[in-house]
Order: sequence, then structure tokens, then C-alpha cells
Amino acid sequence: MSHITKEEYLSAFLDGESGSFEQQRLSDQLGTDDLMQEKLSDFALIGESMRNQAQPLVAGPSFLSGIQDAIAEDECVVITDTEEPQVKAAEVIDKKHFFPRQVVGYAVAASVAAIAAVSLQSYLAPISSDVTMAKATSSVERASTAKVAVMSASMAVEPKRLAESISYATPDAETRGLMNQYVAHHLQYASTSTLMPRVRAVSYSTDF
Amino acid sequence: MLVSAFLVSPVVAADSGSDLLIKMNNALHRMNYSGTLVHIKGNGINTLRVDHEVINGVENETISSLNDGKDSVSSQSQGFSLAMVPDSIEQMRNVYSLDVGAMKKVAKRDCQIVVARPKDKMRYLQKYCIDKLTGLPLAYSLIDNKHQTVERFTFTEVTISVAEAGNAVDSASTMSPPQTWIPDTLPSGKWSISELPKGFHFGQHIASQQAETQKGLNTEHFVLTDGLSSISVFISPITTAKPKPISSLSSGALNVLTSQKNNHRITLVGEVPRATMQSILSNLKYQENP
Repeated sequence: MSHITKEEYLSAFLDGESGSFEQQRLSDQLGTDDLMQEKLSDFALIGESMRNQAQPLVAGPSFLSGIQDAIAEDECVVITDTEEPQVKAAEVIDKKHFFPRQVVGYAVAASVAAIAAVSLQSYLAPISSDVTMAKATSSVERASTAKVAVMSASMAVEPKRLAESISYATPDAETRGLMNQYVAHHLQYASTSTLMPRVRAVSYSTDF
Repeated sequence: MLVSAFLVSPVVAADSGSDLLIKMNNALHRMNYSGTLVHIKGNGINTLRVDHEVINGVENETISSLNDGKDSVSSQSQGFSLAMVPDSIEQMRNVYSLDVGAMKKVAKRDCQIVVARPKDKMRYLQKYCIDKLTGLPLAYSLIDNKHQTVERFTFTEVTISVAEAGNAVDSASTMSPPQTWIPDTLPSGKWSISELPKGFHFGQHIASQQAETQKGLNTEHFVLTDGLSSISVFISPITTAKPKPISSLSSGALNVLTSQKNNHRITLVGEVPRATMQSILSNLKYQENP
């Protein structure tokens, strides 16, 4: 990958324009690529400085090291299905064995780099089992489509499947205003969120 | 002095996951800390400045986004209450397994990983990295059942100190919840929930005149919680005749869902998967003659 590509890659990430695959790859590369770490630090500081010209920003090297600490976690925790449909067992697997399913498609399509080929080999086994599981799940879902269409107590049993069958509209301005009001109320008075609900509130306010 | 000693007591290997979570909640409200916090959700990244200080037993918190020019959000709140600690570890264990993981470094500080793994798909997996020395959470992430991190908070630099003796929250006062907490509010009148998602129960929330005004005086509000995550349910009479479709918003782990039932608008807000909220919405029943 050229340096120009890396810069574009990082820029897209910080602008919120990168997809999940790009984010995952960026996370992996940041752990080992010193140049990319420096670029990320530069871009983050430049972006924040431009957005806060009236307010001097203090952000030292710890800004970057903090992001790296977060990204370079040595394990990913994954929930997996068990034989009993209502009870899902959780297990910790090594990050090297974990990859989002959609990465398969991207990786195959973009299998021009040698490193991608090596990565694909190492991830092939778990991915294959995922695909098999997805096919089995798909056939079950087709068989139960009629049931899912009807709102009943069974929704509590298979909420995920039901939710996927419901299409959600984008709220209009009036509804969104009301939603924002309730979100503010929830975060201020009712959230049990562990890490400072007000942090989430400030961050939410930048979204909507 | 004993309190101070407890607050800075290092996390030791013998600490269980639940002990660490309680210690973490304690530190969040009792300690003074300031730093830069990065909030990553989906494709978005937000950098925030966080300042938290306990003065005369009152928490003072200022949070400002470094990504835009909006004003800071400042707030004061009463001293930490044990009511804010995950209310029932035993109940929580029915739906989460709490495990202690490896030691990590975040913001150049040693921290202990604690994972609350859900036993079903009704809630997110929650992962903390808890400061070894003070118990403050330095990193926190929520992961969905597709193994995707939906939201992540991490300090990139932080300064932590113990509140001075004169300013610290009085330990005696923390034993009794503030009077504004409304315990275990159930839906009133003609509304009921026929079946709650496993592990969820009606929880408490703060009530005040300001809160009543904010949500609307004729809006009913109750809270469901599994100990780590909560969902607010708002029910208000519809004033417009035109029905609106079910709609939703998402911001990281936070989901909002709104729909209409029996001439009422139902809005759910919570840090749980949308499917869980849909399940609650579906089981929310209106009885003309209860």
C-alpha cells in the first residue's frame, strides 16, 4: 500500500466515510505501522484544530497512544450460538481467528495483495463454518416468514428475526424533535449506562 | 482516611468481575478526573473533553465536544448513591457472565479487562478496562451479536485524583438514595407489558419538576433495566389524527424507536439492540377495562 493510499484511508476514517472492512483493516495496521500512527495523530490534530480555531486544543502524543491502546486489544469477545436457541454461550477467541463475515466478500474481490491471500487462508476455516451456519439459518427463516409477519408473544422468543422483518421509517422533523427530547430525558434521568451518560448525550447531540 | 484508602486500593487479582464493576461505579462518582475521551461509534469518531470534580460532596461535570463548536454541557448532581450501582448482581448474573480478563494499558495506565457477556441476544456485550490503581474505567466498548463493536469509549489521556477530604462525598449520605429517585415505576392505568425480555425488570429513575417538564406533563415514563443496560418507555396521548409509521434512530449503542398504539405515541430509548426494544413494544398492551 502506498503512503498516499494510507493518507486517504485515514482521512476517510476520520471523516466517517470508511466502511466496516476498512475500519477493521485500519485497526490492524495501526498496531504495527508507525507511519500510519503518525499520520493518524497528525490528521486528528489538524481536524480538531480546524474545528476549534477559537479554542486552543491541547492534545499530546497521548492522544495517539490512547487510540492505539483501544484498537490494539489482544482479544475479541464473541457470542456464539449453542444448541439451545434461547441460551447463547459466549467465548473469547483470539483476534487472529475473528473476522467479520462480510470481509469474505471484500477479501476475495480484493485478493490482489499477497498479504490478503495469506490472511484469507488463516481465516478460511472459521469463515466457512459461519457461511454454513448462515445458510442453515436462512432456510429456517424462510420457513417461518409467515409466522414472523404476525405480532405475537413469539416475538419475545425470536426478537431478532422479527425486528429484521419490520421496516423502520426515517422519522420526520416533528418525530425527530420528540425523539431527541426523550433521548435527553433518558440520558439525564434514567440511563444506567456505566460510563457517564452525559458523554453519550454530548456525542448524540453532534449526530442529530 | 479509610475511605480514601479504599478508593485508591489497587485492583487485585482476587477481585471478581462484580467487585470490579462496583468499584468502577464508585470511582466514577467519587474521584476527580479530567482528560480526553474518544468516542467511536460506527463510522463516526468524536473527541470529548471530560472534567469531573467533587466539591463539597457535589459532583461537577463538564463535557465538551472537541469536534464542533457547540457549547460545553455542564452539570451538577447529588453525591453518589449506591442506587446507581448495578442494582442486583445476582439478577445480572442470570443474563450476563462477568469475567476478568488480561491487564492492558490505556492512556499509559494499567487497567484490568472485565467482560460482561450476555447469555442471549437481547443485550450487548460490554467490555471495560478498569484502572488498576483507582478503579476508573479507562475504556469501555459495546459489541453486538454480529461481533461488531457498536460503540467504544477510551481515554487517550487522563489525570485522576482523590477528592480532598472536605470535598469528598460523605460515605454515610451515600447509603441512602436521593429522594428524587423513583423506585421501580410500573406502567400505570391501562398499560401493561405481557412479557418482559429475560433479565429485565422495572427500574428506578429520577423524578423532578424539571424532568416532568422536559418529557411533557402528560407523558408517562417508566424504565426497564437488566442491571447494566436500561430502556426508557415514554407513552403520551396522540394529539394529531394522522398516523405515523414506526420509525427509529440509532447512535452507536443507543437506539430510539417510536410507534403508535391505541391513540398513544410509544417511544422507547435505550442502550440495547433494536430487536429488544421491538419485543417490548410488541408486548406493551393496552386494556380498555383493566
